[in-house]
Amino acid sequence: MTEPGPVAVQGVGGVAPPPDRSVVVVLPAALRDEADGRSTVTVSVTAAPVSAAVTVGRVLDALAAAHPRLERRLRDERGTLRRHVNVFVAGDDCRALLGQDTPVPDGAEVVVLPNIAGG
Amino acid sequence: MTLVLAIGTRKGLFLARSTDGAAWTVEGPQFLMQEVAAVGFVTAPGGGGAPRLLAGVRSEHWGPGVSHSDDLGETWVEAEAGSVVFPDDTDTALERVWQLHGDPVRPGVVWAGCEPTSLWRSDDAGETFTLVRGLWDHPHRPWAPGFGGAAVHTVVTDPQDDGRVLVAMSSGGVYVTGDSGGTWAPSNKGISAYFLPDPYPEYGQCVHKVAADAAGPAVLYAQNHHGVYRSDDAGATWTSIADGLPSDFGFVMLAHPQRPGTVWVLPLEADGRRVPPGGRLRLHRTGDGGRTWSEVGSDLPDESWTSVLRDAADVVGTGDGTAPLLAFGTRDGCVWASTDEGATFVEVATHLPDVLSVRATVVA
Repeated sequence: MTEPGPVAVQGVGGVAPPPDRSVVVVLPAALRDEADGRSTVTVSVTAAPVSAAVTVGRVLDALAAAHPRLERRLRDERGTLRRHVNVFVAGDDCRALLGQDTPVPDGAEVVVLPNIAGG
Repeated sequence: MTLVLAIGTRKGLFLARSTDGAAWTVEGPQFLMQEVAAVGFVTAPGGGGAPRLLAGVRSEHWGPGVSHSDDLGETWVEAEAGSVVFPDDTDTALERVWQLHGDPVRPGVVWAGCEPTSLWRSDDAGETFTLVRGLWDHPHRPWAPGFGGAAVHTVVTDPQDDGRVLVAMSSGGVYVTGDSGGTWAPSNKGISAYFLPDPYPEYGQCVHKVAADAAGPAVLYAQNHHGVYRSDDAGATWTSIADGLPSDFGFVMLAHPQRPGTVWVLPLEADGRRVPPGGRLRLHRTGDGGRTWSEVGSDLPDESWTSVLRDAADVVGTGDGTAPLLAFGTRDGCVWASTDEGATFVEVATHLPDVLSVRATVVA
């Protein structure tokens, strides 16, 4: 079996790419103003390239495209997760896993929570 | 006529208003639990009406940014794509906005001094800013951080020459551009850096604040990390004017907006004793460009073991023939205002979080 070529697209004889993945991002109360008052935002993570897993980083990239100011609350302009922002995938803190490379399994929510900080 | 104070604190922004300078109402906090290290009143787009209020806000969780309000704090907006955003090639993230300076003669131009040490220019009245590359790429960078961090904390513009801008940073000292930020040169001759092996280096001084004389920025005043100075050649050389003060340490430097030669400082005892001398919270005023000083503020407290930060003080004109509005806030959350050039003060607020920034304006 050969790998699909870079020009392979659905309907032109190549392998159909998987559909985009919808991922639910759950927001803390402090950030809901950035999402029109909603407690969750659903982002669409593009499937291409075919081999790439859906990760926390790619979910946040998708969030940046749709809600740039909201995403900036979570990551600085270098793309680094802010020090006191925690992101959980299926209940686990992504920092204890692979950070922004942590895979987001099908159906798993990405939950954003503020760490305990300040005085 | 309403006098307005924007009071940025460790835990939010407060707004105080008065019609007579004696009775004040205080509203807030806005941005609760967020640090407001910089506030600024600038000319609103289109001019006329109320000024635009800018706030440099920083959440311990959600990071820093600049928000603006065109209704004196009723509603706030932050640019969707970010206000102060380091370009990708710098591999740097904004830590904190320390200074928001609206250019008084070029409406729409706002300068931001930020941490890490950087200067930014806005041409849309403070909504979005562009990094001033000439300073960022300066061969002297990185400058050593002061105790509070490494930042441009002072911006002085020249009403007669829009290419000329002065900045001060802790620690790094004073730098000046004559070509709108393209190139920068240190301008610290005569300012001591007693904490370095060479006490008079080209740069590296810990200048705390610089203010321009009412006659224009050819005459400048600087409160240094020990040392109070005056320059009569736009910063090329500096000479001490500390004689007559109880201490040459402090953070505040305020120049009268209309009367040349009149300046206020707020001395603290020493680097290692950052409290008012003997606990007496007082300003000292000169009317002759620093040759002589007088203590003012006789009704300020005699037992005050706090301090006043570099941007927690401001003075603004209230009209021809009337005394300016002078105000400052302390790290123990008190705000004081004077409409008689500091002779007497009214306590505007008490028990606020530590005051980081104060800016004053007058609205119709």
